[in-house]
Amino acid sequence: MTPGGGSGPMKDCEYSQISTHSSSSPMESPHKKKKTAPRRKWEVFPGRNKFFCNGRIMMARQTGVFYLTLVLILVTSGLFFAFDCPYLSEKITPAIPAIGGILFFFVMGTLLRTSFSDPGVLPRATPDEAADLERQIDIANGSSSGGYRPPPRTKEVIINGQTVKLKYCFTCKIFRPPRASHCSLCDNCVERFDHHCPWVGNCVGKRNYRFFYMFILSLSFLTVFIFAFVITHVILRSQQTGFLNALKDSPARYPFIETPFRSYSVVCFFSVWSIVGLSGFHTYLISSNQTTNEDIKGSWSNKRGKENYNPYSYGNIFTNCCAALCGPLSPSLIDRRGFIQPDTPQLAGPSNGITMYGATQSQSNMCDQDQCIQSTKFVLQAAATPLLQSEPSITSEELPLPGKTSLSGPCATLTLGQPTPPSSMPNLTSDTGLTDMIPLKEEHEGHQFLTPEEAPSPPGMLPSGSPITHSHTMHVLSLASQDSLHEDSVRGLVKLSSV
Amino acid sequence: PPPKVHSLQELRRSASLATKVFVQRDYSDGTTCQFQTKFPPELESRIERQLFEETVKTLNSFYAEAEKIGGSSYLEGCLACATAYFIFLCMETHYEKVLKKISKYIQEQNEKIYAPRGLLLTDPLERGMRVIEISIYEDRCSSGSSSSGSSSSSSGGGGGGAGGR
Repeated sequence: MTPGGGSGPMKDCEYSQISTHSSSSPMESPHKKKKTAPRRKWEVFPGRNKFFCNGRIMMARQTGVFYLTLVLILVTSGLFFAFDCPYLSEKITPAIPAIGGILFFFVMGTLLRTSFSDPGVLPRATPDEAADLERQIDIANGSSSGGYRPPPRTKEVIINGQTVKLKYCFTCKIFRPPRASHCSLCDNCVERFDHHCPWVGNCVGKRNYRFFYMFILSLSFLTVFIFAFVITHVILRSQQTGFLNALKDSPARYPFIETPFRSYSVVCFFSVWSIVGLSGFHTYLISSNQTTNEDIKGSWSNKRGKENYNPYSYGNIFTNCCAALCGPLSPSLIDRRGFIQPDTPQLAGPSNGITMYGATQSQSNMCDQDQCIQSTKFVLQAAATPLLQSEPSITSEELPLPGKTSLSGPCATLTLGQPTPPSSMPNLTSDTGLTDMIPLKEEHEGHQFLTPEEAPSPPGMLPSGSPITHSHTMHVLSLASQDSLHEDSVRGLVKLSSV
Repeated sequence: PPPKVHSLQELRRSASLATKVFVQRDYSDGTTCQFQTKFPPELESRIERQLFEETVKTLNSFYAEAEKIGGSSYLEGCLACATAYFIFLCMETHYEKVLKKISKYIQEQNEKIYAPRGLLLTDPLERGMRVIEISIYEDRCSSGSSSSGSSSSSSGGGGGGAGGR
């Protein structure tokens, strides 16, 4: 099965892949509907985010853990204020609930800011930009024909004497700025990407890093504060009655000690260690001006080479801290609450896994289905190899490209849909290569960095997307037999093309 | 033939969009927002090199001012931190103020310099601060072909190819 078709259809397919003029025609009909009721941009946002309050609040799709965080903080603080504060303010000083109140207010404020704000999402390229970039890449590669894969799309820049590679993001169709990374959970490129935090239900990036840091710092103070004063409370009480008696006696006699103390000690104990540890870790990151992503990948560590240093660091700890925490706050680039202009061509619809872009749906019947099936099999085979080996350290971009360029021969329209799953794979491995690093980082075992490998359900190893076809094809790949692979992938693809 | 002089409104009505040129970001200084001052070859016949470079350099200086880390930005940062960032609900940040200046500047440049030459600058903010998009317009009456240069021929061919399919 040769991936490369004739050079004639390949050329046409290649350009129709990026040609966006035809994409505007199927989009015009929804636009006509839009003219009657002007819609805001967040409603057609291509990333996997949830929006509330008419676009003012922006969060990741999975927010369950965020509500847990809220509940834990509210309940623990509530119990503290209800049971311990009356006694302590009387016995010691009323400043205790006052300080506790201020800390609590600060924690809630920064938590909500972190969770609800835009982390620094980069909007996807407009069709014209994408076309221009593609053209430049083709010129740079010398437009190698014959279906052999071109070198991976990277650009090199020299920043402060250090060579930095800028990668091309297949989903967003841009060259990522330095320090930006694509979050596969939210399906967005985020500037100065730190990590995706499930506890706050959002990515942590350039725009909300300082809120995140203030949140964990103030939360550390709050948990230590509560823990210390609960113990103080128990000690003071026990001086009256005897410590063991205070605990042994039935809850009915000392409800304000026994039950709250137990719940506190469990929550606070784990919280204190993990959160204080996390604060310490992020303090180190800020003072050396690194992101979690860079630190875990070891981008600037000396182990990579004597010449390797962090080009973004200002040289001294104080400046680095000030720059991260007190630097200017850049505005959101995605303009969530703006109205959609009827004359501007909209970007392709939301990409979830394997679904095709809106434009291609009309063009899919133009494609020869047989060739589509053939070529997509090739993609699945290419994508299958890392999955079967389940090695997290496989490098990225090289892998989906064989499938991609082989597809540019017979079937261009399907490539728009197809590369998304394989290209999200490199994002899994390269952007958050945490799987082999997590055991090493013991100090924050309480705080789970949600790797894309962990977050979605195992049967579908690719994030979200149409579960039926995905789990079906993934099932097949685990069988690891050529015949069933071919057969079932064909079945899977027939389902795809019928979408 | 020398292009007609257009006003900004006239441009949209009487001229048709031929192609777009994208001025990319210059990352050699780090992640600060700076644009490349390299003169795009497509604009060779449309505008003087010096005018273009001056526009880009002024924009670069605006962005540098917005992102400057100094006394006033520290003050703003510390004040915001002290109020648990609630102050951002009522106050405009320094960066936003500079962005407004930039938008005014671009508007002014379009009116005075670019529109009379059949060009239009798009505020980089609308393109995610990635590029300065310069739209090149052709007079509808003057040219039969839609493509103005060799650079746009592939996109024109691509459009035709897609139509053929």
